[in-house]
Amino acid sequence: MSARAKEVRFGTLGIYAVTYLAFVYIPVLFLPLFSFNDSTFIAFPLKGFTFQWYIEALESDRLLGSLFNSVKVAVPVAILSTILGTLAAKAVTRYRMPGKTPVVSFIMAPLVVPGIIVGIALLVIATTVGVELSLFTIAIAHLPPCTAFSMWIMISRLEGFDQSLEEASRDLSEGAWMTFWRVTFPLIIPGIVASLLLTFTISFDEFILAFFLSGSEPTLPVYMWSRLRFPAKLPPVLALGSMILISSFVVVYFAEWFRRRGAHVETSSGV
Amino acid sequence: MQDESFISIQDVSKNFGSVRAVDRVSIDIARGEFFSLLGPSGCGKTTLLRLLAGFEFPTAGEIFIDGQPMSSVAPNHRPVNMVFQSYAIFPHLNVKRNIGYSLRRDKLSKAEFDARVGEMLDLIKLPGYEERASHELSGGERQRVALARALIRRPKVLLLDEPLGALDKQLREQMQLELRALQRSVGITFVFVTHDQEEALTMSDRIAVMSKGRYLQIDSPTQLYEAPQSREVAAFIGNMNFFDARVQEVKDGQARIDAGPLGNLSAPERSRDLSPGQNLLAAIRPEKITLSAEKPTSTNFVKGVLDTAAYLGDRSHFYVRVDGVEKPIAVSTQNLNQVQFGAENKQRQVWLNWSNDAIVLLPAD
Repeated sequence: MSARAKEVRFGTLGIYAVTYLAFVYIPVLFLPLFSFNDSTFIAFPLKGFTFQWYIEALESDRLLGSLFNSVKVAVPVAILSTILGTLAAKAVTRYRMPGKTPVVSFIMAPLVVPGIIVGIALLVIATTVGVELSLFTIAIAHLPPCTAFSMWIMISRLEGFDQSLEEASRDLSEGAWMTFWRVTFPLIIPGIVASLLLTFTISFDEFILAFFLSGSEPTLPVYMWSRLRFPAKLPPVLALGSMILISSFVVVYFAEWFRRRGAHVETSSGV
Repeated sequence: MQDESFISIQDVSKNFGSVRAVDRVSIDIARGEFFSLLGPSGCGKTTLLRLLAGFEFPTAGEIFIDGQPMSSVAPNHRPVNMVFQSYAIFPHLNVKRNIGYSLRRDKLSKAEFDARVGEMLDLIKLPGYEERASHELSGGERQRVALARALIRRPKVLLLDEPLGALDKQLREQMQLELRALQRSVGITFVFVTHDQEEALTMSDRIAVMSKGRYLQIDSPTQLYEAPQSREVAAFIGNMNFFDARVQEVKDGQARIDAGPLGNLSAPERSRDLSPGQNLLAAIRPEKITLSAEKPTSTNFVKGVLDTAAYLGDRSHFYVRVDGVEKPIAVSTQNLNQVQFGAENKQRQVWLNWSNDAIVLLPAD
């Protein structure tokens, strides 16, 4: 607080920033806009205001079914990938081990390998081995990128706190397991919550892998994509999309808020 | 030796990859002793402490505590506790839960738990602090809480890793005295790591001066200061003037030494074997040199020119140039009376003199 914030004039950079934000968000805002438009055609001019599409969305069994399919995939994926990511991050940050760097790179790789390649590869394997495509195969496919994301979040969390806290616990007659529960876990909860929310969002939104690996039960993105061919069926999808958009904003906002709050508590309690 | 040493470090080495942090160190520490490991950063003192705590295991050698070998004992099963440099106060727990952290297994009732914690708070003079959050504590309070937390199970040994380093000077001096008093009252063996020589001298029964993974000398503070055994120790503890010297003759426990430009010195032989012709270092502390404006009447003196003078209130520091001596000689005087010399006396001719037993003879490097 001692250093006075430098005053920035609204100049060229300001214009650039506004343009950038407009470019990113205005297209997204068309979704809620058309979801209230009283017309089956997604086009200007707007006809009138209606809640009809929201009512239809909430009454459509197939739409809601696909929404629940997505949740059924995303919840276990978020929990499992956060557990795996946390354990991997603990190993990486706390132990000296041979080949650490390549191992970390391999775990992180699913974040950069194109989904379409992984999707095709997994489809080939599934059909060769004879595994039936289902929500289970989608979840399996979502696990590696979500675990990588979780590990990334948890590494920064675990590196952020004074490791002598864990040593102090060992010194004060607790073993490795109780040290984790009494010291490490309470201190990384903000990271765990952030990881759960973000991995849930990633799995929930994911399209390519789900498209290749879904059997008779589509997840929401896959279902939405299939509706694009029938213009008349599109407005309810827009309505549901708008609802999800708002929920996503809320979820990500909370994840970030939680992460920062944790970081703040950490630094303010330091010596 | 075995029965009187409470902690016995026997031929212990610790490697980190190709770096040897601790190199074949053997130290015996007595029960109830305040023992310090003193040295610059990277000398291996902290590694040695962590070996005692069980956070690191020796590459070679063995550590015994109260007769028990420690190499296969995890930190949570050792009869030692540690005060960390950062204090490692658990940020998510209040003072009471921090201090009572190690009591979980004892399955105490709430009243017993509170009583035990209350006792410790009395000991560290912070009664009523039970419910304080860790971030509400000042630096000195954190240090005390860390101390109470480490002492609550009455360990046989308390390890302290530069616990006063984060405190300001005044608080540090106060805590030094308190820590020493506390150690006497609880009677626990303290092993104290510090890079601050003054702190080590103030507090310790014995000090091991460490450098590059080995110790150079283990002695009482007085012995380390008055009778260092090497140039490194002499230079690390306090200030020291060094002169190249050569033994001329040895007679009746006194050695006649030719110190070049300083002329002939006379010094006690002490335990060192001195033989004529041997090269040596003659060393003298700045405060053991007397500075005067007139030629002194004693036997050991040299003429010089005042180069710099610094007034520090209770004492003054001077540097005196002497013909033929490369570095100016440091002299420190207590300002008991009116200040004799000041910055205005620069370039003035002065005389230095000293008594025979002020000179320490050290092996030449």
